[in-house]
Amino acid sequence: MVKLKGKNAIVTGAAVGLGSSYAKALAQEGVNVAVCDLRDEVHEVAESLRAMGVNAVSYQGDVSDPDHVRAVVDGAREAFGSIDILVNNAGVWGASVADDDLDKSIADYDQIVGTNLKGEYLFGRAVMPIMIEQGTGGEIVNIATDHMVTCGTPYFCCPKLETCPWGDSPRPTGGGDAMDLYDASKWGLNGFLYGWAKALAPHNIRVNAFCMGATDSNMLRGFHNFDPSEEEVASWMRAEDNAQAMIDMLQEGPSGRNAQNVNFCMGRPVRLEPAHDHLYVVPEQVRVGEAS
Amino acid sequence: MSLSGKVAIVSGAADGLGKAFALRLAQEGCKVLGFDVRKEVLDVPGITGMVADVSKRGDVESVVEKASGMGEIGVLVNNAGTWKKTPVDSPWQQAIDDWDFIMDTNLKGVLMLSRAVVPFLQKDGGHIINLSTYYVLPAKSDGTNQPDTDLYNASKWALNGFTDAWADYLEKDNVKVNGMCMGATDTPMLRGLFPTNELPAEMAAVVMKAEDIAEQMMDIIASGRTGENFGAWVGEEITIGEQPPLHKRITG
Repeated sequence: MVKLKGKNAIVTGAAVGLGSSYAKALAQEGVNVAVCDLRDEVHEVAESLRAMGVNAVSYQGDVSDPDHVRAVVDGAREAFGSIDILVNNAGVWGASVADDDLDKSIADYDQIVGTNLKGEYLFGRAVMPIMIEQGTGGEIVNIATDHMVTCGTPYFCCPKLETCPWGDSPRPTGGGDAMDLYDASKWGLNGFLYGWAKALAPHNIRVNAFCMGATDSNMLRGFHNFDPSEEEVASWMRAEDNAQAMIDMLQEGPSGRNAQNVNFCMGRPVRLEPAHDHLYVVPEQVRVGEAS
Repeated sequence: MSLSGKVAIVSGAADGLGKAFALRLAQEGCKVLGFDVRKEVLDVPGITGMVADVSKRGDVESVVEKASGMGEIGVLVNNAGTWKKTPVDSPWQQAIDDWDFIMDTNLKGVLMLSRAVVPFLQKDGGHIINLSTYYVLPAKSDGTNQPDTDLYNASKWALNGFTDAWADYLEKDNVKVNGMCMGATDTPMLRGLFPTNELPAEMAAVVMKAEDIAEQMMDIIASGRTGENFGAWVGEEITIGEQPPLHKRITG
C-alpha cells in the first residue's frame, strides 16, 4: 500500500458533492489539495482542508476555460512544488434531446461537452507534462458515469441478481433519451482513459476512471429539483463511501490497476472491487513502468 | 421503407467512404446531397454536390435547406471526420487548437447537422448512420485506442452517446439510428497516414473496401434495427450479424 501523506493533488468541481468529498478524503490522508469550482463555496472547502492540517489553495472558475485551467495547475505547482494526483471531477448535467433547436443545442454543447469532456482534457493535458517532467509517477482519475458500464455490460453481470435493482434484466447503456450530450461527454472520456494510459504507462502514471451511478450529490439533487423523496435519497450511494474507494485505489500505487473504468452502480457495494479484465486495450500496453 | 425517391444527405462525400456511401444510396434510388470541404465533391457522378463545412453552423443550415428543397429527407450519413495525431506532451496552445480541430468536425459537426435534419426525418421516418471507429468495440488487435490520438478517440467514443440516446428518443418517429465502427478501410484518410500516400503491401492486401462497407450500410438500413454499433474488422467477414441483447447493442 502506497502512503499518500505529503503528496499533492488537484480536485476539480470540489465545492460540493463528490468533489468536496474527494478533497476531504485526500486531506484526511495528509494530501495537500488544490480545489477549483464555478461556485465561490470552493474557498470555504479550502478553509476546511487547511483546518485538517494540510495545505490547500482554491480557485473559482470554469474548467472549459484554458486560462482558468492554466491558473489552477500552475498555481498548485507553485504552492506545493509538485502535482502527483489529478481528480478530474467537475461535471454538469442538462437535458438535451434529438430535436432540440440549434441555438439550444450549441449552448448545451458548450456547457455540457465543454465542462465534462473539454474540462477533463485540458486539466489532463496541463498536468501530464508536469508529471512526466517530475519523473515520480502520478495518478489521474476521471469521473464518468455508470451509463457506460451498466451491470450487464461490458465487464460483468451483477453477481447478486436477486438483490440488484437491475436483476430482472441487464440494464442497457445510456441514461435515457434526454442525455445525448451528457452521455456523449462521458463516453468521450474513454478516448482519454485508454489513450492516456498507454502514453503515460512508461512514466509510471496511472489513468483510471470512476463510473458513478446515483450518488447523493448536488448534481443528483438538482436532477430531482432539489426536492428528492426520503426513499429516493436512501437508495443513493454516499459520496463519502465513494471517496474512500478513491483513496483505496490511489493507495494501490504503480502496481495497481490501470486504464480501468471502475463501476459504482446502485445496488452494488460502494467499495473498490478487484480490477477487471481489459476489453479495449492489451494489458501489456498499460502495465505501469514496464516500458521504462 | 423504400428509400427510392428519398433525399439522402452524406457529409464528407468527396472521396473514400463518404463517396462510396453517396454512390450506393444514389444506386438505391435516393436523391443524394453530398457535401464536403473539398471541391472534388462537385465531381461525384449522379449526386448533387455542395462545398460546405460541417463544423460551421451557417454551412450546415445551407446544406439542410438545399436538401429539404430536393424532396423528403430520409437518410443522414454522418461521415465527415478529421484525424490528426495529438500527442499527450504537445505544447499547451497546440493542445487547445487540436481540441477545436478534431471536435468541431467530429462531434459538434455531427450534433449540428443531425439537429438540423431530425425535424425532417420525424415527418415520415428515416435513418441516421454515425461513422465511428472499431476502437469503441472490444479490441481484436493491439492497434486500438492509440496513445497519440486521444482527441480522435474521444470524438468517436462520444458518438456512442448520440447513437444510444437518439435511437431511444426517435423510436416514436420511426427514425433508426446506428453507428458503424470501422476498421482499416482503403480511403484517402488511411492512405494519408503513410509518407507516400500509399498503403504498405501487407496492409493493401487485407484492407477493407469502401464499396463493401457501403453494402454493409444498406444491410443495416434494410434490417430496420436501431441503437446499435456495427463493427467491421480487417480479416473478418463484413456482416451485420445477429442482433445482440439490448444491453450489448452499443458496447458489442
